[in-house]
This record gives sequence, structure tokens and C-alpha cells, in this order.
Amino acid sequence: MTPDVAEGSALLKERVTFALFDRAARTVKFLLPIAALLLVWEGAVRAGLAESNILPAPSMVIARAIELLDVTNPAGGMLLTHIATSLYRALSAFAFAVLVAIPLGFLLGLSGTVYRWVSPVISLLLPLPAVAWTPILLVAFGQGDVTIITVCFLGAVFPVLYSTIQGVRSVSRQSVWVVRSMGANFGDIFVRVMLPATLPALMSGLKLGMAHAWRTLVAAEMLAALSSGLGYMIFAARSYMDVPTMFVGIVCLAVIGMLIEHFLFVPLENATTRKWEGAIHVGGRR
Amino acid sequence: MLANLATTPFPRMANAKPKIVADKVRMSFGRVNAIEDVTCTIGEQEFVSIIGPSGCGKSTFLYLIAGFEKSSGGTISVNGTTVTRPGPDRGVVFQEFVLFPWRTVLRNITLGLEIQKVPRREAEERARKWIRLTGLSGFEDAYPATLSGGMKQRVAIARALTYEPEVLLLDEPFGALDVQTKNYMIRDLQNLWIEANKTIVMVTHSVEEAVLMADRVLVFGARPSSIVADVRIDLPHPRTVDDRRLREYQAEVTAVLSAEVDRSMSLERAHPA
Amino acid sequence: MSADATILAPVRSRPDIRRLSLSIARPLISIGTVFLVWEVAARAGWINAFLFPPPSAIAATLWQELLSGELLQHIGRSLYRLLTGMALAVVFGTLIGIAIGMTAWGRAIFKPLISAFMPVPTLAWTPVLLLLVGINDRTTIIVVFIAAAFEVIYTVVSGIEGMSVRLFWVARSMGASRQQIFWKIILPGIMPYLITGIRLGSGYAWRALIAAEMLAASSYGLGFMIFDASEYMTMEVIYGGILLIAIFGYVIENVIVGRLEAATVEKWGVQVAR
Repeated sequence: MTPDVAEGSALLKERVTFALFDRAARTVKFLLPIAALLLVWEGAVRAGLAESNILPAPSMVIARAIELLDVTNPAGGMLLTHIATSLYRALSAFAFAVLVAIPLGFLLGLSGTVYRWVSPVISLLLPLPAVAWTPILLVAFGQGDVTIITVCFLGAVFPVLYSTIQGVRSVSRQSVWVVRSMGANFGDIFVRVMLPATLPALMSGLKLGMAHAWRTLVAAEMLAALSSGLGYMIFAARSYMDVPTMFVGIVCLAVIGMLIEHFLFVPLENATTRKWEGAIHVGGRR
Repeated sequence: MLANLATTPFPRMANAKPKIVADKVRMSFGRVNAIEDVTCTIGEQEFVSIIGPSGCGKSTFLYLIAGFEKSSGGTISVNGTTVTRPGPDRGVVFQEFVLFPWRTVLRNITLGLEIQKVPRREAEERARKWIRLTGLSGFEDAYPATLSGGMKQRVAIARALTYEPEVLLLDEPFGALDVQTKNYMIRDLQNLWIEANKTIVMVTHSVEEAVLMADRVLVFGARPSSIVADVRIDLPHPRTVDDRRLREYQAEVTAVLSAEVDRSMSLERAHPA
Repeated sequence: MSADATILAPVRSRPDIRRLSLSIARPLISIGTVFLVWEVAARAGWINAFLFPPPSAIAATLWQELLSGELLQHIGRSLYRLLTGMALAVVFGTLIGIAIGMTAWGRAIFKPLISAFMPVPTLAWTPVLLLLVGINDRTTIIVVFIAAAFEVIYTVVSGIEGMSVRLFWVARSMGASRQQIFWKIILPGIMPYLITGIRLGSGYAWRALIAAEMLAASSYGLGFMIFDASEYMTMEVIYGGILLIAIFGYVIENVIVGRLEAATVEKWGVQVAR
């Protein structure tokens, strides 16, 4: 090994350690305000500045979470049931939304005439919160999964539909021309141009759709769930003034929402759109 | 206008046999006539540049040859067959490259052969030649987003050449490139043309580009446009910018063009949009 | 459309007028058709007229509610909650946004907190708020605030980040003080972004408000009206309420704030990409 190379690798090592150190420092800096908030909160409750039965200390919330997760406890393990039920509802609503919205989006995006006639109806439905349909669904189906899943479906379907339409309509005429001048038929154009060109918009639509499904779920479960689900858990805890359980539910909702995005969409994006964008963003995201 | 100009209002026929024949082509968008009565013949393996004031319909004319748009009147034929739709006998390169970001350089270039159901191995084999000639070797697995403008345009050109069209249609191919890159590309495209033996029609707004590269320069008038001059550049290829005779041709085309630009400006002032 | 065709476009003035009138008529025709088909289907008994009462019956019920003054109470209360919550969101959102965009401490404190709170579905706070502040307007107003504030903060921050540093250099070289920079450069500079933030935020806020009213309002509000009606199964009221919610949502987001946004885009030539 020549001295030059040795020096180079030492430099590289130094840079790697520095990068690791830098990353750790940033993580600490990021967590610091959150930790500070939790500590102030904890201290305020313990000092009696806040009433613990209305605003429980973080430690009480954690204790309740452990209790709810404890399977050996007869009343324990409930949290997992709530989470599983909520996930099942949100994911199946999302799946239905995707199955409906993507074909419909392509249809509306490809045909200018159909789009122009249908879009007024869509833009009237768009500002409507999906939860507003709950009263009708309650009358029609009563409380339970059908109502909840339908509400979540309505929450998820419009972002996916809208993004698909936008994606299809943004495909440039020229990129279709390029493959047509290669002798492409309609099938070729669809598979080789339309579908991949729509993918980035579709991806953000799917992300948004899933987020909407998850956010709508809480309200839908509060209004229409019979026995389980995170939204039900939070709302039921209100009747017993069980605030720690409510906070456990809120934290679960936030964390699961982030996990879904991280484990469902980030890998999907890495395999598709992010790969096309090139390896420019090697370092941290954002 | 100067009397000793070599321009003639009527095209001088090339010796080669006709490849593209436009006969009284008209094109209107709604009430506006973009192209009126364009008649011309482009010979086999000829390199023809089309130049004209902006908005004169020169790109539209190129799209008519490509079969992307339908003319409002007249006919265009390639190889004696009337053009009705795009086909693999005519390759197109756009100013904006129009690469497919989800395909690597190699997959962009083999797309035409893929569509024509050529087996992958063979397609890659045939693409290699053009990858080498366009100077893209080593970039086969890169995604377009990571390439510079010049490299992207090379990919677009290689993509159009790989499926071996007889006619290459270039729509302001250097319009989106910086001057440095453009000069390289012009030099390379000249060599490529000598190698490829294609008929090339290039739309441009740069007189320098047009005169430097083409056998013939067609000057389109202000709209509704028709051909106002057909200048044959009688110089051997490859040419260099410092050729004195080239500059004379350049001055000649510029004179015709600026007269047209003046006319279109005064028309615009008279009828503001 | 090809480049040449777009250049030609302005000349076509007459068809544009026709296109404009068609763009007004088309929504009326297409939405009208939906209601017409619904009306006929309900009256002919092709669909369950209890679950899908004919639009004419819905309109009649709405008219009655309007005459009794009940409807105006519901609408007024919803709008009051929306406006109060939005006003809070704009004020605090702008301040926090500027703190994040302009100061190191603001970034250090608020960015992590926002990342921690943003993933929580807004409506999940409702039961907690019900306990903390009770069943009254404050709960729904806070929900509106939460729903809109993140959007306002986000757009304000991106507005500041989008401003050229040279603007500050120019101002500083003219001898502007910190205060002058704030009032004369930052505030006008973020205005177009803020308006976009308000438009998007008001959309989110409206949706959240309706849901919050269903969960938390003891009286009045459009959300309360439709949820209450489901207990008595008065379908006409539910449908009428949904229709009003959609119309108000559309008008608030696209007409009122949308016009404001269009005016700023026209005036300053700033198009906020979202």
C-alpha cells in the first residue's frame, strides 16, 4: 500500500466516523425538545401544577401502555386487539379504494370529454369530509365494520383518484409520440409509457390515500365501532375518564401511521421513482 | 434584395431520388392558418434544415412529416406512401429529449427494438453500435436523471437511430443545450450523419446551425407560412465554423430570414393578439 | 398542443368565449343530471326512497329548516368555529413558521415537536379536548386550529426558504433594521405562500370541524345537525346537511380563498407549487 492510499483510507475512515458522529448529534438535537417537553410535563404533574386525572404524566401513560400490552393480565393484551382491528379496517378500505380509483382514474385521465363532464361532480365531493357520510351509513348498515370501512374507503378513494387523473393527464404528448413513431400500438403505449409515467403521481396519491384512510379511521371508529379499534378505545376511555389510555391510543395512532409510511411506501419508492431520480440523494432523506 | 444571391424561390431538385414529398400542405388550428401551401421535395440521404421566425409552423411541419398531426389539406408522402400516422420509418428527436426516466440509458435506446419484438440480446447488440457512435459508452446503466443535457440529447439521438429509421426528424435538437455542448453535438452529429446515411430533416432557429450542417436550408416565412427561400449549401462535409464560404451562406440566409422576421413583427403590430 | 399552436392561441378569441360559457354550463349540467337521475330513480322506486330520498324532498326540508331559523343557527355556528380556529392558526402558524424559517432556536425547538405531533390524526385529540376543556365551542375551535396550523406553518417555512438571500442583502445594504426587514421584506414575501397555506388549511379545517362537531358538539353546527339527524333517521336533513357541507367547503376553499390566491398570483406572479 502506498502512503498516498493509506492516507486516503485514513481520511475516509475519519470521514465515516465523523458522519456517524454527526448523525448521532443530529438525532440527539432532534429528540432534545421532545424529551424536554415530556420532562416539563412530568414535572408539572408531579409538582401538582396539573391535575393528573385530566393530564396524566408521561410515566403514567407508559405504565398504562405496558399494562394494556401485558398478555398475562386477564384484561391485558387488549391494545394488540385494538391495533389489529384498526389495521384490518384501514388496510382493507385502502385496498378497495386503490382497486376502484386507479382504473377509474385512468379512464377519466385518458378521456378528456369524460373528465370534463365528471370533474364538477368530483370537485363537489372533494371538500366533503368522508366522516360526513357516517350518519347515512349508520342508518343503512348500523354500527360496525361495514360502516367504518366504507367511511375510510371514501376518505382514501379521492386522493388516489385525483392523483391518478393528474398523473395520466401530465403525460406529455411527445413521450407518446416517441413510442408511436417506433410503431407502438395502444397496449405498448399504455404499458411502456402511461403506466410508468403515472407512477410518481400515483405513488404520492397512494401515500396520501393511506394517510387519509388512517386519519379518517379514528373518527369513524369513534362514531361507529361496536367493540374494538384504536378510535373506539380512545372514545370508550373517555367515559371512564381513563386519560392515560387515551394518550396510549394517540401515540399508537401516530406511530403506526408513521410505520405504515415507512414500511409500505418508502421501499416502494426506493424501488421505483427514487431509483430513477438517481443516486444524488445518498445522504439522509429530505 | 441583393441580385447575386444564390437563392431561388423554387427548390432546386437534388440529384438523389425523392424521399419526402410535400404537396400543397396546409395546416390550420381553428381559424388560424399556421401553414399555407408548402410544397417541397427532400431527396434520399439529404440533410435539410428548416428555419423560420418563431411561431411560423416549422415544428408543425415536422410533426406532419412524422405523422403526429393531421394536415388540413395537401399530402405528405415518404417513399411514395402518403403519411397518415407515425411509423418506424421516421425517427424523431425533440428539443426536450423526452427520455423515459424509468428506463436506463440502454433500455431507453433499445425501446424501439423492444416494441418491434426484437429479442433482448439482439436489441442490445444493435444498440451497442449507436451507443459507441454517440459517445455514450460507460453510461448504459445510468438513469436519465443523472445525465447532463448534452448526454440526454445523445441518448435521444441514439434511441432514434437504433431502430434504423430511414428518415431522422430533429426538432430543434440543440435548443436546450448550452453553447459549448451544442458545438460538440453539432460536430458529432455531422459525423454521425456521414456514418448513418439517413435522410435528415432538422428544424432550428439558428442560422449558424442550419448552414453548418445541412445540404439545403428551407426558409419558412411568417404565418401563414410557406417556403420563401431554398438555399443549397454547396460545401463538402464535415464543415468547420471558420470556413469563409460558410459565413457567406450564413449572411445570405440571415438576410432572407430577417426580412421575414421584420414582416411578421409588423404584422403583429398591426394586429395585436 | 405544440409550441407553435400555443403561440397561435391568443388569436382565437371568439371560440374562447364559447368555451368559457361552456365551462360555466358544464358543471351545472353534469351535477344537475346526477340530481335528475336520482330524483327520477327515487320517485320511480328503482332505489330505496327511504335511504335515498328524492332531491326535491331534500330541498323542501332544507327550506323548512331555513324558515324556522334552525339551519342558519347551524351554519352560523360552524362558520364561527371555523373562522376563530383559522384566525388562531394563521396568527400562531405564521409566527411559528417565521421562527422556524428565520431563527436557529426556532428550528431547533419547533421542527422536532412538529414532526412528533403531525402524525397524530387531528380528530384523535377530540376526546382528550372534551375532557380538558369540556363540551363547548372551544373544543371544536382547537380542532380547527390543529388541522390548519400545520399547513400554515409548512407553507410559511417554505415561503421563507424560497426567498432569495439577495433580497436580504439588498435590504441590509440599504441600511434596513431587523424590524424593517421583517415588515418590508419577510411579511410581504411570505404573503402568497401564506394565502396558499390558508386555502389548503381551511380545506383541512373544514373537514376536521365537521367530524369534530359530530363527535363533540352538544348543540348546533352542520356536523352536529347531520349526526343528530341520524338518531332520528331523518334522511332528508342528513342529505341536505351533506350537500351544504360540500358547497360551503367548496366555496371557502376555492372561491373565497381561491380568488384571493389567484389575485396574488396575478399581482406578484408567484405561483406556489404544492
